[in-house]
Amino acid sequence: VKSGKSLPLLCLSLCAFGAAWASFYSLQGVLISEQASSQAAAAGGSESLADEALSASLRAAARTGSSADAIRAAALLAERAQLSTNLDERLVNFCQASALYRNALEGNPRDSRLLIGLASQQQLLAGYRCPDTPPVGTVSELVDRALYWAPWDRDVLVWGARLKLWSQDREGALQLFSRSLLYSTELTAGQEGEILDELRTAAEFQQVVPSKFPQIIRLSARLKEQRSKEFSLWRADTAQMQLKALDDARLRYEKEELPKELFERELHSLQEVAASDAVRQRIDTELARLARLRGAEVEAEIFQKRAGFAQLQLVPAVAASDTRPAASSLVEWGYEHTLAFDDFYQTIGFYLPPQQGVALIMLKGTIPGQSLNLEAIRVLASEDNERWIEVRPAQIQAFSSGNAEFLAILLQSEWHKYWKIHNNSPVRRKQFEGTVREMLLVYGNSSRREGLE
Amino acid sequence: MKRVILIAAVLAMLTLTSASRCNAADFKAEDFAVGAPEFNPNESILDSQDLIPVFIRKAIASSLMRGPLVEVGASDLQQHSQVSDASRVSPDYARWSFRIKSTARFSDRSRVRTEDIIFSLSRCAGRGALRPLLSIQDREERGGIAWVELDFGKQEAGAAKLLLAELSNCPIIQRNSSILFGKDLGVCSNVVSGGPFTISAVVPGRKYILSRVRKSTTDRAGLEQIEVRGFANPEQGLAALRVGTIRAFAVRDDVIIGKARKDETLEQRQCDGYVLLKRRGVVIDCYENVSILSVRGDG
Repeated sequence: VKSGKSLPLLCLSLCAFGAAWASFYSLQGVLISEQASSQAAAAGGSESLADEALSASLRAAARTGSSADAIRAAALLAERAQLSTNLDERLVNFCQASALYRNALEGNPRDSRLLIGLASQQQLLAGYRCPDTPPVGTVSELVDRALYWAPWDRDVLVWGARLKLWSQDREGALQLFSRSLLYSTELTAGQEGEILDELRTAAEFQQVVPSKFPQIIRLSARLKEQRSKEFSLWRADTAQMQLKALDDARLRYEKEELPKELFERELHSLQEVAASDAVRQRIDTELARLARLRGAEVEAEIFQKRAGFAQLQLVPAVAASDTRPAASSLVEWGYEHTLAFDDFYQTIGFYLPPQQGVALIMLKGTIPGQSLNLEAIRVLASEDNERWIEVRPAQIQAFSSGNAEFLAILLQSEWHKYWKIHNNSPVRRKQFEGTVREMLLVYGNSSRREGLE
Repeated sequence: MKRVILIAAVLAMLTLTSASRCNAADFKAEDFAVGAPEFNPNESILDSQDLIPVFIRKAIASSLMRGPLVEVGASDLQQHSQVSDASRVSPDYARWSFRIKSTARFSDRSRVRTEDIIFSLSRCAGRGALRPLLSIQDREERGGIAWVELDFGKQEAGAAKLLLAELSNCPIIQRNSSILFGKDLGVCSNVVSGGPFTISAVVPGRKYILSRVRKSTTDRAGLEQIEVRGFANPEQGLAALRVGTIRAFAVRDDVIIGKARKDETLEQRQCDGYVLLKRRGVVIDCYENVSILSVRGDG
């Protein structure tokens, strides 16, 4: 390196892109470098074996001129460069990797992965010109060429977006992320997570994530898990997208472009990540319709009724081994462990804030086909969490739907502060399982504002 | 507020320092029980200054600071709790910053967020604590590291010490569930918090069983229980102590204290306003600032 001026910039850039390189190669499905390292480590002679693997790859690349061999060899060179602490040595390795891409491109000028690989190398070298290598285009030109030849390749799209982000072209990057999600339903978890991490506003979420199944379901689930705060803040926009996707799927189902089973499965998946009660109600209406077509009348009736109620805000609790349910208090608010409702005198309960009337209590077990003994179910209510009265349900039903088992208790829209759903049986079947938060679903009439403010 | 601190110093600060002198078969961590005067069950366990609620909230809720005995003047308060793992205070005690532990969780496994801290501190401020508090702000650093910054205005060292004590007595509770509980927050067992214990059984005002929060379904720590019993009649408390159903009994009644003095099987010691009666052989120290975290009964 003769230019001292470019050294700090180059050094920074090498460090910054170091981690990205590893993901690029695994993205390409080329894990040869890791394999070589682990084999070498296992053999106890890491350097010599790694050198051997590199030499073999370089020979193969020179002999065949194939893209895969060039990418493999470039991966090993990049790994060696990263391990090196000597800047000159790193530059030599990166330049050698660039040369591999160039040579391979001569035989395969339309190989978009080679083009993206070369673009990444050029970005990594940050303006440093390798000796004896005439320019083949700017990073941006190489990305455009790669996208021209593989406009639907998810990996090329994601890598193109990444390179645009590093070039400060945020708008271009978001467009490519959007295309990658639109054209591919099989982005890896890492790619989806990376895309979500880049989104700053609800508007960007709407811009990038397509309002169609299954993408909106997957990305909503990931948003909920990965960025729960944003899931909450962007709720209104996400709900709008989910409803749009639902309309689109229903239309495709009616046109017989989407099989009924798939439509139903997607509805169940969306149910888990519904961004608003309006979405949940629409899903219930659709599920009721589909259940009726299957002849599942109980399921259809419950979902149809549920569609007319709001989901109530409550604080769940439990009382284990509740042998005297009319005299014991609800405790362990926010109990988070998995429990079985069909266990020794198990009680699941909740505190219900005012302005809400309970019309339907549902318990959801995660194992389908494990029905409960309906005669053992008791519902109790209290105003002080100490003295309880028995509530007589209008109807108790059990049914399977999707991958779950449901217990549905219909009531005459009553309000009490504390509620218990009690399994009045000593039998420890332990088949109707779940966490309280997943298991307990309560619906009715509410004049409370949605949200917790 | 001083009273709160002093009362907190009584049973909430019990430490079983040694069990070498007690019969091993006679003492199990799982059934450690203490007694105290009964309290009004309609009062909030989050606000009442009676002995039992103070004990319970020390067990079920953590605070920003572990205890009030922190060296005032240190740039890092170095008395971190389950909620905060770093802190800074300006030299004039005006600005206090607490870094929120990324691993801090409430009993429903939800993460302790700055909004919960702000809600909890505002709640305490609304009840007369942290009086000079001017503002609370949250701030997020890269990597999602969250800080809460409190502005008290310039303070003297003595006032700062009191603020530390008040911070250590302000329970951090989950905002969302607290809003749902509304005016019933803290009544009976109504609270979602992130302390080392949870209320697993209750007879309001008279009996609370606190179980150590389990980290997983297979975690046997959940079996560790402390029973807190309230006695309307101190005679009954003394009887329970004599027959061994409780290990210690905090009392102020002179007649009972006199009776206990004549009983050779019992010992007593002053514990800040209360007399702590205990069975001979059970070693219990009463520290002002020892957290209930140390009430384990490992012996």
